[in-house]
Amino acid sequence: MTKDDINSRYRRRISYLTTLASRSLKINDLRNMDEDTGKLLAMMLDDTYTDPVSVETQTSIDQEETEESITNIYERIGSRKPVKDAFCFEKELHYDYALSSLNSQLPSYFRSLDANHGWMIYWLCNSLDVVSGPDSSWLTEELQGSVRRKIERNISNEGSDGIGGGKGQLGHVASCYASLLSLVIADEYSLLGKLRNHLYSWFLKLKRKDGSFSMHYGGESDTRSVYCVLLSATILGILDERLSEGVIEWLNRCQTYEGGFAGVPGTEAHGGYTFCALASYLLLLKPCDGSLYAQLAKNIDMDLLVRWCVMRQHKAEGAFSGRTNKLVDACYSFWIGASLAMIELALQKSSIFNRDALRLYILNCSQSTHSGGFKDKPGKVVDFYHTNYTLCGLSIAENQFSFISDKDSSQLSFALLVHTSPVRNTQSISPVNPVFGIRMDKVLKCREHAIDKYVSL
Amino acid sequence: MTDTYNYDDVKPVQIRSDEPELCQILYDDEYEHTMGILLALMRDKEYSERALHITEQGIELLASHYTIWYYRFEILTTLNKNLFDELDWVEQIALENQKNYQIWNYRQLLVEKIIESGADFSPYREYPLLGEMLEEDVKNHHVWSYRKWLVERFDLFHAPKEVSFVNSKIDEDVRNNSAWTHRHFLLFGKPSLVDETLVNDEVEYVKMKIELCPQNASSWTYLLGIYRRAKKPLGELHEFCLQFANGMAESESTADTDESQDKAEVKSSFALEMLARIYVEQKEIAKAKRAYTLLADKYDPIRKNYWEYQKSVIV
Ligand SMILES: [Zn+2]
Repeated sequence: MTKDDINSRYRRRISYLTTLASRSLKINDLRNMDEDTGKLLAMMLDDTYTDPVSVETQTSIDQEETEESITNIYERIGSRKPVKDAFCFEKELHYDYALSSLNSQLPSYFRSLDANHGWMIYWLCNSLDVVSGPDSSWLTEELQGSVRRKIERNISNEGSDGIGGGKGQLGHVASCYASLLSLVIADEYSLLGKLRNHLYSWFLKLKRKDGSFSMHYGGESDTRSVYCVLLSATILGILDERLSEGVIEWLNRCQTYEGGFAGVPGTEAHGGYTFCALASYLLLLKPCDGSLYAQLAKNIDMDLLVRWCVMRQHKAEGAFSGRTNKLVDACYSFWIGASLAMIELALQKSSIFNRDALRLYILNCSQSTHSGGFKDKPGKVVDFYHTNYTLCGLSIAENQFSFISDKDSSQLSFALLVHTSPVRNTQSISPVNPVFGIRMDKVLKCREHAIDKYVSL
Repeated sequence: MTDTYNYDDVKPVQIRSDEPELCQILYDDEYEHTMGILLALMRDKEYSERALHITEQGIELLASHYTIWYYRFEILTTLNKNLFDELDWVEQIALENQKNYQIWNYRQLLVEKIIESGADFSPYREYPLLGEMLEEDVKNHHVWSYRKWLVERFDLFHAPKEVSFVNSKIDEDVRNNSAWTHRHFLLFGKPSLVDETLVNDEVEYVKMKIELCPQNASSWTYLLGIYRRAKKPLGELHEFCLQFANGMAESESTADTDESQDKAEVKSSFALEMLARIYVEQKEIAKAKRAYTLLADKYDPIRKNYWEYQKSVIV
């Protein structure tokens, strides 16, 4: 270590200790406040019982730096009186951001997304849909047609070679998934009907002996490709035994010693893959075979899964990290938030994590009140991906989840039977289904179509 | 730019539509032209030198374009190209594109093909590249996943070189969870190599790392994971945990008085959690509840709902 390093560390320590001293005064003010927000901030800012970092490593240096920038934001909120306006949601800004991104011509550096055209449509249409509440006026007839034409360009061999990420590209399961969700959002069921049988034959071609699916011809397989196939097949009403054979056994192998899921057996537990695995179980399991908890517990270690997921929430930031000892990132508001929602469904518990702390992060550290849209963390820039998943995460934080039970539907998977109710009266945005990542009413329509399909099978 | 080969006879795929479309990317001419020709050749199933050449250009323009990788692999195998040369070329691309993951699946395909052809392949050939990649980002998920694949594919479980590598990564940063995960796979990934001695040695190793840095999620989770898989009683860890969480959970009283708070000495919320689990296992209900209450109210309040839930399911 150079002398400069030591000096700068020393300086950081000093400034840290002085802020700490002034902080403890404010924390008492906040704690004695009537408002819930004051108490929440006091809890998050209080580090009396947090052990000081004993050994400094790259991980703790990065963590302290991020924590510091976020704590500064919360301190500013805490010193405002009243602290009520800690939860401002700039609906119109986000609406404008998503709509103008969808309609504008993107500069040439956006070619980095040239293999993700279906994804861009899903992220932006879904953002618009979720932000609009029950209102769907953004979806004009003209826009519906544009969505359909955009997806049609990327279909390969009528769908029997899948849907690619752009025109002329190889069929790709994740692009297919995003494209089908876009069609559901845009209410383009006639094209979904045309694709149905072709995509079924393509999925069978991608099916592997171990139960999983390849992402594309010659591609890798992981919990992501599995989830994308299962969800696509559910939308199309073609999820049968040939497709689902061996999937659960394969997924079971992906749970790690930590409790979360990895992309493939033996690698590191990760928020995105954990979401994909858990959502896959909800797409496969049905209430007619017993409770969700009992069926999950038969296959995986639920105790460690729940533990790993709740451990993702950071106290000082309120947001989730995607892996142990990594930094928080707003997109995990959905990947982990939705995983926790599915856990709440299994445990039949209304809230297993701190929803307000997550909202605080989303609205004050991730939301852009200038351009609209959402970013990973302070200091980063907004993008389509983070905007969509942060909005979906916000929706998870504003709702609680339960299952509807009716006799007609016991043959349907748990994923199609999710019901939401708002946690508080003031609802910023639409409720989102934690398995599908789209609005509840859009899933309901999907379900009606699926019921028709199963009746006709 | 494409002066080496002639593509005049190829009618490019129009990747830019004439009518307005949603999220239309304004491609620069070079990109539009290269991709147009590439996709046209692929559609026509042309496996030639000029096709190979244009995939190289395509990948240099956009390494995350999965279609190009697929096509390039088809061309190489059809033309019977030297795949070791290809590995060297991909190495450069990997170093220039830290976040890319197509590369790692592609590398696996190449290595499998090399083995299939009967040629010798040493997994240690990959070490310099992996080392360099981890220099840039020591938690790079794709690089660690590839490394895990090597261990599995070449049966490197317990291999001294690999063990000393993972030791060095944990020594560098004891909070590097990717290294802990790799360690777990390396030592426990092949069940026939797991015995009591290994488990006990490993427990001692983690304990040492916890003493070094008590508030570390990676090491505690690793410890819990080992106990869970080996079905060992957590009670063995009682004394060990008391070093990092002492004075309050031991108290018989459940009253949250200031006096009992003063006795509190918690260096690690994970130790307190482990104690709670130990008490549950040993049916010491009052102590377990007390530990969960302390976590909920004081030592880990962000997870209050979870700790309350844990308390509610104690039987
Ligand atoms: Zn992110």
